[in-house]
Amino acid sequence: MKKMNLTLKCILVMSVIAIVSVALLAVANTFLVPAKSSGLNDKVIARLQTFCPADSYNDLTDTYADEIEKFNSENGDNYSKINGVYSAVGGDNDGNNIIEADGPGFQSGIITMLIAFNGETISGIGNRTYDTKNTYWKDHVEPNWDNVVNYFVGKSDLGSASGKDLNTGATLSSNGILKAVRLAIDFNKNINGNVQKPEPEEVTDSDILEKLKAMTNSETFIKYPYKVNQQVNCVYVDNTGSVIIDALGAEGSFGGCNLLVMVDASSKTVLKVTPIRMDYQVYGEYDASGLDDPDVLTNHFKGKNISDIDAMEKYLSPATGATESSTGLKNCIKNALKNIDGFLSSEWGSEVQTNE
Amino acid sequence: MSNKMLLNKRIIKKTALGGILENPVFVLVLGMCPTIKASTNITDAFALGIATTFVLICSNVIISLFRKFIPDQVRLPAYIVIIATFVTIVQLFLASLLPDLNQSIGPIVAMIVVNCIVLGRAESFASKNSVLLTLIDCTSMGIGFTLSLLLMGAIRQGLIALNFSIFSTTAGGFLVLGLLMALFNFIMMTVEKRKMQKSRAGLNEEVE
Repeated sequence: MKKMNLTLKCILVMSVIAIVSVALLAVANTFLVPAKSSGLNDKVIARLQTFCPADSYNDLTDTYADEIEKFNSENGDNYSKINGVYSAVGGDNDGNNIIEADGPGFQSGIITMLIAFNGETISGIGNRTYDTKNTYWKDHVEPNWDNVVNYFVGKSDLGSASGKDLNTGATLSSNGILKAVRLAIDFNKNINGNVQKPEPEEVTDSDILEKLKAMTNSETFIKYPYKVNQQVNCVYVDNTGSVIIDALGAEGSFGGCNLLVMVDASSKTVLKVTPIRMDYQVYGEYDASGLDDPDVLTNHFKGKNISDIDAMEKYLSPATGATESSTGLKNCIKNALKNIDGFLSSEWGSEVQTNE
Repeated sequence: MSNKMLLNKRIIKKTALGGILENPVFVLVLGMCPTIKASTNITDAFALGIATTFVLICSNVIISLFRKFIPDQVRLPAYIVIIATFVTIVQLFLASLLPDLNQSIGPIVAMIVVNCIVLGRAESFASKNSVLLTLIDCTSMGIGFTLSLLLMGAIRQGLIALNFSIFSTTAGGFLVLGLLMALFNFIMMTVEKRKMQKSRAGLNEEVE
């Protein structure tokens, strides 16, 4: 009898401890949602290639960090938010935005979607990860993925759509997809400049001003926040009409680059190049001092147009110090040249008298 | 002041100083795996110290609270379940709010479940003492453990920065630990010796 009582007591105590532990863990699990890995990696790039093929992709999440934080604080929560912004570089989808957004799945799961935009219209859609904690995704969403793609592609507004419209058979997962896509559409409108367009202003940032002064003989510059895609940050124009494009370039080892490219608007050729930011790293004792030298870069690209740059060797002259980084530098200069017409035909560009 | 109050005060003082006098790393030589693994830099050392302290305090306070209800026969499984619950909460916290830190110390945090400091204090102290004393003991032990890790982390990180790469290895970790242990015990022995000399001198004065 004594042994029986002891056994029962042990079972009771262990049961109580187990219940309390489960309750504590349930509370912790509710409030502490694991942070997911974000950013581009080989797996994500392979997925992007399936619905938004491009030569490469630029990770602009850090560039838009403030916008993402503001947008998420106003529109998101732990289960539905914007995670990142990428852009396609090269190919037919050049300059298209790809937004990574979360939506809620079944039983506190998270569905992470990748949504590609051509302007404001959805041009492609893919799934990065899903955590729906049951087999609905595999059993219903994956076999009906074409329905999802067909529903979204070509749309720029989802109106009063509901999860059922996706026709997958997994209602909650479809609602999660819809929520993520809605966020992506709204955020894409934000970064495309359709909400509150910034005004041109005189350049006051001393670092940039010094670099601009070294490129022209002018003392003052106007910064035009021309950012219609992820190829350019903005455009600077001095009082003589010289146009200098702040351009971004992807590819190369360990990152991308950001250059100031002074462009001859009539011939669409490069006049001068000055580096702002180089993410590249140098192998061993390889001399890459040329990468930071405006004169070296200018000598290399001066007078070149897009075709000339395409015809260049894979690696630039050893004087630049660039090997794998050559692709990033070339992409960056090409991005500047590609956008000169767009800027000049914009409402700001038409006011600018270039010094052709 | 009554004898009982004086005794309580003495016990609390002794318990509070436990983290130094019975330092878990340098005196009791407990929790060696995480100590060696996480002390290659200050950040990891501090994070693991705080994580261990949290688990130590929470689990031992609960064990002390229910010490009279937990039968002896199932005490170890019960302790392990309680400790594992808090370790899992720490893991969820790191994965959610500090993912970078979780990448570096995540596997070591899981090992806190079987950390001898936590289980040792549960068995030797929390299961026999009141909640208040347990709280003081765990806080003291936790601080002692964190400070030891921080000291080792600072020394190893400094030596690694000076290109002594051996100190990033387990062997280097043991070397630093051994030297610090020797230094710590030397200081403690010297202090003890002086205390004894003082008390002897006091006795002699009384005799004279």
